[in-house]
Amino acid sequence: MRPAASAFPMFLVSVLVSFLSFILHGFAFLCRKLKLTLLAQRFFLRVLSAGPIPQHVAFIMDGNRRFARRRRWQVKDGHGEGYLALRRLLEICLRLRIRCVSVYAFAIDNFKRSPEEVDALMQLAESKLLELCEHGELLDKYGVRLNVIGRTELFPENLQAAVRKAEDITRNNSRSILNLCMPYASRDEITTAVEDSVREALVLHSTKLSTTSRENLGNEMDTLSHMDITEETITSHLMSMKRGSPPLDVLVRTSGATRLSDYMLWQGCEDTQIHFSNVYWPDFGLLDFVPIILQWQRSVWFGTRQKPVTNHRSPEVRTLRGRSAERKGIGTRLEVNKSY
Amino acid sequence: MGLLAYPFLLFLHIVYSLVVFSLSLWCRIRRHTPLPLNASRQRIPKHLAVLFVTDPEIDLITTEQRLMESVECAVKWSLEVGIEQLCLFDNEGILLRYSESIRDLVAPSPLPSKMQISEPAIVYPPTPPMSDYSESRSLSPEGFESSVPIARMSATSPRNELRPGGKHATFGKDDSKTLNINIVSREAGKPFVATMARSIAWSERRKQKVGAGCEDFHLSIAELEKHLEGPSGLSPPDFMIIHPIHPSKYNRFPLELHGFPPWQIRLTEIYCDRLRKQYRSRLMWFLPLEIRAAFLSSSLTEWEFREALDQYAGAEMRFGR
Repeated sequence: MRPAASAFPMFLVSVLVSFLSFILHGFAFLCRKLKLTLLAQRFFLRVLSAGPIPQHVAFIMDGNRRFARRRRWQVKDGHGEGYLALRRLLEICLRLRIRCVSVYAFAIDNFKRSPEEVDALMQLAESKLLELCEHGELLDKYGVRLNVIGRTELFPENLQAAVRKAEDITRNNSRSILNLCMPYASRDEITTAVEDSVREALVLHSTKLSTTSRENLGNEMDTLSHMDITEETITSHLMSMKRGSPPLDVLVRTSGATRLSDYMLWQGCEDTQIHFSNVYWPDFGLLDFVPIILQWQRSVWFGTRQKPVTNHRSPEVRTLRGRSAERKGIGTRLEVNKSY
Repeated sequence: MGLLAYPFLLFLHIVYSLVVFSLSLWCRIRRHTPLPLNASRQRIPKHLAVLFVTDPEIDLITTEQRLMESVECAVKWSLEVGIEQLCLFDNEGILLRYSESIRDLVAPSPLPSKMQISEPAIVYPPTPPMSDYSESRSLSPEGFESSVPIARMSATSPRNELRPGGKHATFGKDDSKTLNINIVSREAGKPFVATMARSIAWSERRKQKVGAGCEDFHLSIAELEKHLEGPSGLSPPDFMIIHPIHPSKYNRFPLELHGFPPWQIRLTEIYCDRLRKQYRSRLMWFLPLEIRAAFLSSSLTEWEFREALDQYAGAEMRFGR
């Protein structure tokens, strides 16, 4: 576009953006002055939750180190801020009645980082897990069950103990799920799921003629036909799915990177909305998350989504996906019925 | 509160629409022209995937036409830039069904450079039957061999007809660049992993029969990777361009991956031009669908391709560190 031709539209856009910015900043200023920020946020979330809400949202919490470097902090302080952002987002998601939140806390590849940083992360994880155990008001208030998903045997023993304690304390919670994926790699999860599917098929086959053995295996085994391993079989053996997570609706990656980095590849490659945000994770907040929810609502009302079949308060939730449900020849969508 | 909240929610959506409209106009006006195709870039993908998103609003004939145009352009530009491998994906398998036509489409006459196409090999896996296992059925001693349902072909172009620029060009004996083209569909993704799992299960069952126990069956990532990415598999692309055939509708909703093989996208950078024809369908709502399809459908553009390469060149890879 030539400069002269673009000047007028730029002027109009600038005016519009300035006007909207003035309105929003004015509203925020009034809220701060009247000490209504918290109240306004909660009202805002109540309004949002009146529309369709995704069942399962996953976050790739990227950008802690760059956030710290930008402020000339130590890297571990960036991770500390990242934890605070996680708590903030978690409360927002729970107020919105999002049933399941998954976060990519630590990748198996992250063990390649400097020993100092890895030790700092292990200590942060242990201290925060113990803090959750001792002061778990947030988790108790929303009935959150904490699942740590990944190769926890790679962690130091003290961290493993903290993981076990946190999971035990929240085991009976049934309203929501928080999946802490650490140390996690999606290829590892897929490989484990395939391995478990093969083992299960072999066990079924070897006990085919043994009626007693088959009964002991449980009802869900009845649906499997010996060596038949389907997409749904593998999906059901994924670590996150085995712990009761519904299908993934939304995947958010922060810090501007536009890749999945070995996170929830199987769950996110189909029927999952993917958002790449330019904001660093410690800066990610309500105003960054709201557009994601609004876009979800629009896709349910106007586009490619069907609404959840049952009330979102019900423990059993079945969700049929628009396109996947129609694709009869290729594969049916897994319905997750898990009583908590 | 539920019913009372709806007017506020509606107002919120209206405000959001205004904000998105303003920002999209701003981004359009401030958008930089991407570097020329053959410009020198910091890095170029060795393996590029193009994910085509079809739409039921666009009729099949128009969709096929746009796909063919896009494939022709993608092959031409990939050769020019020096990309070694090109993966073409669409969920429904339209490209796979028309692989022979694609071979004819990228034939020498419409393109300035001489191109040689080797015979395409469409490989479908000899899937183990899903019916009940019968004790009387004999198994071959080698077990089942599975390969990704894929159409493979290659194109070459003489080097001296192309301007310098690509850093990763592969040169044959006659100094020509070679582009390996793979055409896949959703069947190469989750269904193929399930097929591979069945093959592994049958193979382990056979070991049971010959006395080697499988109580300690273990599958490693490396082993599964060998099956899925090996010579009969699909290697992971470095970079992916998502191109919707109906951008005006697609760009109103968030990005999705539409069943692309999950194993292969571990570190794949993803690009999608979210500004193309964003509001065009709303301006043409009154036209019949057949006429709208012609205006609203879109093949891959050079602008998209160049902007995508610019994004890839600027991406920072940390590999966990």
